[in-house]
Amino acid sequence: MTTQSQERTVSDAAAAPTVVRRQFALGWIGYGFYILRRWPIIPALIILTLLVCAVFAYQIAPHDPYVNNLQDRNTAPLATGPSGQFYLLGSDFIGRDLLSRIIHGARISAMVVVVSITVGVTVGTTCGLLAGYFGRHIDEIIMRIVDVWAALPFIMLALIVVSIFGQDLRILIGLLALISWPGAVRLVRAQTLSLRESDYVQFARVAGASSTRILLRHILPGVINIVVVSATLGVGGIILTEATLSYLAVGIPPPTPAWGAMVANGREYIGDAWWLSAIPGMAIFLVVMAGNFLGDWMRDRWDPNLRQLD
Amino acid sequence: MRSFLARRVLYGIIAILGALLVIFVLSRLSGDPLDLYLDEYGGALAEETRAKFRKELALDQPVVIQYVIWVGRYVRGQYGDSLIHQRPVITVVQERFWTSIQLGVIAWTFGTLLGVPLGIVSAVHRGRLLDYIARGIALIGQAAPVFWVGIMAILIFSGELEWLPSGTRGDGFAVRNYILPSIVLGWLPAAAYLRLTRSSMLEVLESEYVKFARAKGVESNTVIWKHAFRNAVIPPLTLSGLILIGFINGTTVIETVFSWPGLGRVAVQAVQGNDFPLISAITFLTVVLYVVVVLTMDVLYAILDPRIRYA
Repeated sequence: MTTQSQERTVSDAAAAPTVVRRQFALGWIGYGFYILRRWPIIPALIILTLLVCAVFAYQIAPHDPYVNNLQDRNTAPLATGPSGQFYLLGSDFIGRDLLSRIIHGARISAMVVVVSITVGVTVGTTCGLLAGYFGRHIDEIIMRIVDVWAALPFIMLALIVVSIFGQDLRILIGLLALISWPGAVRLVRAQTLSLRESDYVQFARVAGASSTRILLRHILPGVINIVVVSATLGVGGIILTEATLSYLAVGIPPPTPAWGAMVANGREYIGDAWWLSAIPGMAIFLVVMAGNFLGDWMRDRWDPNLRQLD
Repeated sequence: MRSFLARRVLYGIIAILGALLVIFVLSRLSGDPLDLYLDEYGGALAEETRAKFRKELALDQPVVIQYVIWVGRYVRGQYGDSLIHQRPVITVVQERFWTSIQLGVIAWTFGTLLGVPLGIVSAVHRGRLLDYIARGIALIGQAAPVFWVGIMAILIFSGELEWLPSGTRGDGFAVRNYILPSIVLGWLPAAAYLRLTRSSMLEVLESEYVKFARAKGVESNTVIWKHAFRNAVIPPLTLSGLILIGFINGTTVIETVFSWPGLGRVAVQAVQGNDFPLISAITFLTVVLYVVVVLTMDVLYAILDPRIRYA
């Protein structure tokens, strides 16, 4: 990677960008691979597709995800069922269109991720700022809570919560928000600790700025990149956890089309209709991978301290 | 060293008490805790059973005392009776515990034996074919939902190819029953170990003393295994705690996928059957297990790496 970028700088200085392209083996194809390695275009497209599906689910989906058609049950992908309906990704065990359910599932996933990450990261950032800035007792209390929290086996906690309060979308979102906050606390606290000692913060304090002002005007902008990176890196984990909980039938209550629950329901029909489990699982896999890629890329760009050797 | 140990043990105890507090508060938040206890038909409890539980949980006492009494019972190993199984919780847990541990240990061995060497190979062959293959394996392990990988493995290896059974442990010990579940369960830890070993190995390979050893003319294999590997293995070790958490979550799912008669499956069934004593006992035990393992790892880490301050 270093040699490539060095070459690039040298040739940029020497001539027009067209010269750069000629350096690649296989010409345009090589250049294409180079661009794909540098920019997360494919992951961005996957996330964009997810978001478009989420927002326009009712407009895009070819069928109603809740309406069943028993005559057409377990129709294979790219096939026409006995009733003459065409199913691009097949139909499920009671004849609901799989593609429509996946599109509506994207809506559920995106909503769960956006809400729980926003709540979790906001709480986490606030706690991290307070712990890092005020130190001493506040730091000690917050960090002990974070330690205890991180020690809870999360699936078990989710099982307990569901056994007490029942299956509910709001409870699920709350639970997922609760797992995403400790990570943000640790990252933000570490960054706050170093920013607190920096000259400009010291000067602000000397100039008589209040703690609130220092935290919001001077330190918060310095940690916001870490917050965004940790939020993006958290997307994959949230989607996986949501899918796992739905798989264990403690997540989103049926008949709402959640990807994890779709995989679980397909398990029984695995011999006759592989697509019922395979396709929703593939959707989860692609979105999680895209989230991880984007997160890594953002971390490398915006937060060189956290960068891992690659 | 002694004060370091004392601190770590204290934190561990605080974590366990905190987890118990979370369970306790949650169970009291829902109103009358006795409503969480249903009879085996899913109906409300009969009045005499209610009275028994009320006495057992000390519900006539103030909340703080209820908590203390409850914690005391848990610490002494009195978890009450499971409502679905109609037996003491402790016997149900004892029956299933080793099945889970067996699967977990085999999967962990698989994950370590695959992940650590592949991480080294991948670091040594950085940017070449082997590196890309290893990172591909890690990528799938980290992004694919474990239950989906399990179902796909069943579809391919027991459905289409008919090589391996699709689940359940069966009686006695048959190796073929363990292959699919432990590979699927071990994949995520393998991926985590691979990434960590790779990045810490790359860092060590760039260091001055490795360069010096190479310049001195030490044989390449000796440099990799003797000079670099020994230092690179410490960071992956410290993350074993996180990997264990992944295991606890993973076994719950994998046992459900493969109908494995372990603790995780019992926990899921307990939730579906509203068996509150059983599910809270299992959560408590997993937290204890986790805290003990993390503590052991911390101590091991401090022994292995003299640079760690005992702070």
